[in-house]
Amino acid sequence: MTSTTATPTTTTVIEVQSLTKRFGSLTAIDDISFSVEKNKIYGLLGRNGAGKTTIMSLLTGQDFVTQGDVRVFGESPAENARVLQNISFIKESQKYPDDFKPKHVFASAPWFFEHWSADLAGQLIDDFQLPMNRRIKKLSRGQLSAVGVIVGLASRAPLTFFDEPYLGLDAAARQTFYDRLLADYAEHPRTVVLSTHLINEVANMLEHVIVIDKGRIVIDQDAESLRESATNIVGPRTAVETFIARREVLHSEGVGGFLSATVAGLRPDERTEAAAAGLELAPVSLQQLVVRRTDGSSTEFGATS
Amino acid sequence: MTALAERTEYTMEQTRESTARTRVWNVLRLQFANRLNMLAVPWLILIFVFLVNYAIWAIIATASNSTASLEGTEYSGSTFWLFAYLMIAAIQAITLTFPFALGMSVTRRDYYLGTALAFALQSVAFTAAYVILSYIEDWTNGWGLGGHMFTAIYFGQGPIWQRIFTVLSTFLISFAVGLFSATVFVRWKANGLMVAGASFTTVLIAAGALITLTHNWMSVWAWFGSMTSTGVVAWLLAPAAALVVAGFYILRRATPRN
Repeated sequence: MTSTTATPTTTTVIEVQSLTKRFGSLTAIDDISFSVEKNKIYGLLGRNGAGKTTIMSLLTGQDFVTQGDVRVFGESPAENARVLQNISFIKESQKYPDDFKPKHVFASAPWFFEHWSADLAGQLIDDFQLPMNRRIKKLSRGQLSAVGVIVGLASRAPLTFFDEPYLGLDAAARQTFYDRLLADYAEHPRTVVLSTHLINEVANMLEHVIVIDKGRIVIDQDAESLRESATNIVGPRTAVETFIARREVLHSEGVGGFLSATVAGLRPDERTEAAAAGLELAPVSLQQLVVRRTDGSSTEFGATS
Repeated sequence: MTALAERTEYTMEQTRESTARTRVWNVLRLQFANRLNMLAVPWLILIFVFLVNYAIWAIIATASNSTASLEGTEYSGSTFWLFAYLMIAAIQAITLTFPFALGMSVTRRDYYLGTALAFALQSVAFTAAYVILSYIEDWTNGWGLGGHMFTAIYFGQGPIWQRIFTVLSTFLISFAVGLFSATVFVRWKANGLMVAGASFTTVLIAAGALITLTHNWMSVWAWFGSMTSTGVVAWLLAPAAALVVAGFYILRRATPRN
């Protein structure tokens, strides 16, 4: 499945080994390991304060590792110009010089991103109707997010991070972002890491999902297999209870005589068995899965992977 | 052309590895991306200060019907603000462009070198203008009124090499102090500046105590008296250089915080 246009070098873009980041007494990232493969779209999901931005800051050399090893394009990213010039990372809280207008940002970005596309930037400026001559300070939250989205997309960096890029953007503008991202990704494949809360909106575009909770990884899985890893079963309480008795239950809730339960992935023969028992099977959305795995109340069900 | 042919994949192998010189140059350009604050504003204020000075000289000259009464304007400190302004501008520029440059995937090293170079370049340009103005002031006999602004006794007097040296050094020292304070602020925020300020004050008091206890104030004053402004800036260049080097190491471990 490797791209034929690529030189047959390593397909691993990011390699993280036992990474820990502490801020004083707070352990923001707690001994995590994962890797990111080339030319895929990754979702970095998790609740507020889970450590998503911290991970991205560490991967882009904006912050320093406390313990462990981070390799991006095979090298440590900290203060490494060779690596960094291939990375685009506009933080959700990205600061711009006070006296800058969007036009100053887009005029200086090409100096730092070799593959910068002025055409794409121009098109996106139109799409988002971004005022070029207004001071950044005076932009609305949505317009500020648009600046970051435009830099992220138009830089066409081999490794592009988006950190909650949608804040303040309305549904139409978010859709524009997703459409442009997918279209440009198809023409210019690259590795994209997208951190977001709006899981349902991006669920279809993610190829791999990393869910982080309280500084630890709770899910690191191919999106396809993740979707198949759980099923909702709905039916009369007794029938459902009989069926789930031997299985791992992620979540259950009952209404009157009915019970709805989320169980770990079912084999085809199990599906047939459930259908025969008069139970209804429904897919579990990525969002539901993530919520169940990161919601404090679900811990009693035990973590699976 | 097929759709496949239009597909261009950008990989790390395809990204031309930029030279350190290009990267430092790009940071330098970033500092001037918005030319207003760094280049235009200092001169606008300078023109205003000059006009205010000029008006005062004109009023005095008219009232006393002579230019002789303008003796003493060579003690004018009107241009001190220019150095102070650039010092503040340097601090501001760094606190604002550092997080932005990191967002543009710039290393701290390239950022610091480019920024320091931008300030050095600016010092050279401002010195050239300053020295030219000091000669115009000489040739027009104090703008026709015997006033002094660019030929005050601190800077802009003496032969050309002396004017250039004193003014350029003062700009460089101002920027060095600004650069250092900014890195302290970026790395440790306001707490860092307070500690740095407190340390500096402590050192001054300790030096004062040492001189007092050893009854050396007379020789200290004699030393200062023997020094011209050229000598003072020459002595200050060394600690300024130390501040620039220290700033580099302070910034190397700084992280952009919100």
